[in-house]
Amino acid sequence: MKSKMVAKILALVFILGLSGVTIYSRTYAQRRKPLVDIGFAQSGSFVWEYVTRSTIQPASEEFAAFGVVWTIEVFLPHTAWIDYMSEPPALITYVVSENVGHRERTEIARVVLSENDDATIIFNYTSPFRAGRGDGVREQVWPGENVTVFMSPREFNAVSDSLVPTSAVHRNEFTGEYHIYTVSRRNGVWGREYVASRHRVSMDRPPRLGDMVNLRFLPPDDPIVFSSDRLLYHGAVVRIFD
Amino acid sequence: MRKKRLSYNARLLVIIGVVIVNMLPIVFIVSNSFMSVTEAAARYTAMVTPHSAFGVISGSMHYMDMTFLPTLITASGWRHILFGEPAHLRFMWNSIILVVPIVLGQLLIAPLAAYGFERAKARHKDKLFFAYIIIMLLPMQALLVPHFIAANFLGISDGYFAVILPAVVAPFGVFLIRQQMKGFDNGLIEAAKIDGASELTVFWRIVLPNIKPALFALAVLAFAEAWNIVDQAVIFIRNEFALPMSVYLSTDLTGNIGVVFALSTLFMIPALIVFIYGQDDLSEGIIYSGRKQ
Repeated sequence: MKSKMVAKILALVFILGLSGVTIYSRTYAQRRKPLVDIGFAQSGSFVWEYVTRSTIQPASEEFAAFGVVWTIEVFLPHTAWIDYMSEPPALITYVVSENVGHRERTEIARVVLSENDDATIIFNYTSPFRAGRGDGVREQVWPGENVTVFMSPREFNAVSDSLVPTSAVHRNEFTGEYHIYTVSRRNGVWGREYVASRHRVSMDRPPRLGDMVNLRFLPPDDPIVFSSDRLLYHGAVVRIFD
Repeated sequence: MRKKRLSYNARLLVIIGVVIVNMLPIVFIVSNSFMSVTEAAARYTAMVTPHSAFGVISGSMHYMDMTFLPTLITASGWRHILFGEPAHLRFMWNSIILVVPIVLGQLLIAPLAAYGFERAKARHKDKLFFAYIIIMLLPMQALLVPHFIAANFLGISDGYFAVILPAVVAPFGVFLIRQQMKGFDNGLIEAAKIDGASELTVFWRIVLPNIKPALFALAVLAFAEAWNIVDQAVIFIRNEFALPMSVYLSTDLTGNIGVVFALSTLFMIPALIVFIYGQDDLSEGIIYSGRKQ
């Protein structure tokens, strides 16, 4: 009888203990999983306008023939969207109108990232500016002037059906390659779970608004990870943000 | 007197030797469950060279450096299986989910079937019982194909039912309980019937309480068999995450050898508890089966 009592107590302790550690380890494992925000690529067009800051200064020796150079800082919010399906190389045309009178100028420009902080992305565009174009339009640009820059893709109102937030595109610091993550469902040990898969993205330069990114695969049916609360890796089991 | 003492000592020595030999694997597994993952990998995987080995060659032609005492005693393996990776515990629960219906089902079916075989007034019941018991003598592997065909026909070939149902109606339990019932005093049954008791009342109130040792013995033996089930689980359970721990332990865990010992120890605990519970009744149930009570 004593052995039966001992066995009953041991059995109860075992079952309660097993249940307890199962609940604890599952809860702990769940919390360790990265929390991701997912979505699908959207259609849209690129026409936006952004706050800029610019300075006009005498041209350096390199651009001496032009007279002045014009440095523009464009402030882009991190929530900006980029097209990940269009063809490189990406060229941006911008229409510039100044706040003194009205002058329009179309330039083919390459946008290069100079720095960014947590709030905004800033890039600089330096363009040699030729005063007087010989087409009857006299352009007077003075040092210290400020201008408003409108940025648009090469083809006005170009529509893309593969826009994702810039936060969806990640860069490998060692290889310099860019990639995005998609999430797929599978049957795990404890039921349904979500797994992140990495897909390489071909890009010429950092993903900023207006930049064109070419994916090396067809648009995935799986949703794309827009953001996550911690570093992801290929095959990571994730939680979906509701 | 001296001869008796020598004979007793000799027998004791033999018993102690047998116990030590049988306990060695268990002691080995329990002590190695407190070994670190790196030490386990260094001792029991292909990393071991002939120079560092203890001269033991494992089945897959690499050396092992066995020990009963880890260099560094740590609970990292236990921490990993209990708190770190919940996947291992799923297989433990699979085993429990598989075993409980099998044991309860056998405790329900076997006494009723044994009572029927013993008390029924059918002309060819002994021949029928003999045909039923023949199945017990066949190797389990020979029965797998008919089981699979039957399970396929019933549409349960993928899942726990295909493993549970054949185990519930296994003939050994019926045989054991019937042997116990053979030695039952019929006078009690006749007296009960004279008092107006039905057949079910006789079974429930008179026969069943008196064959408790046999029932406990059946429960322990059924548990032991179901807890170690491998072949049927591999054939009938196709979802790899629904397999019991007995199958999971035999899969390739060489990449994680450090936790195998802790998992094996954890797997032993329920069997130990069941044995502690039923050890007296197990011996009594087997010894007294067939004797007149």
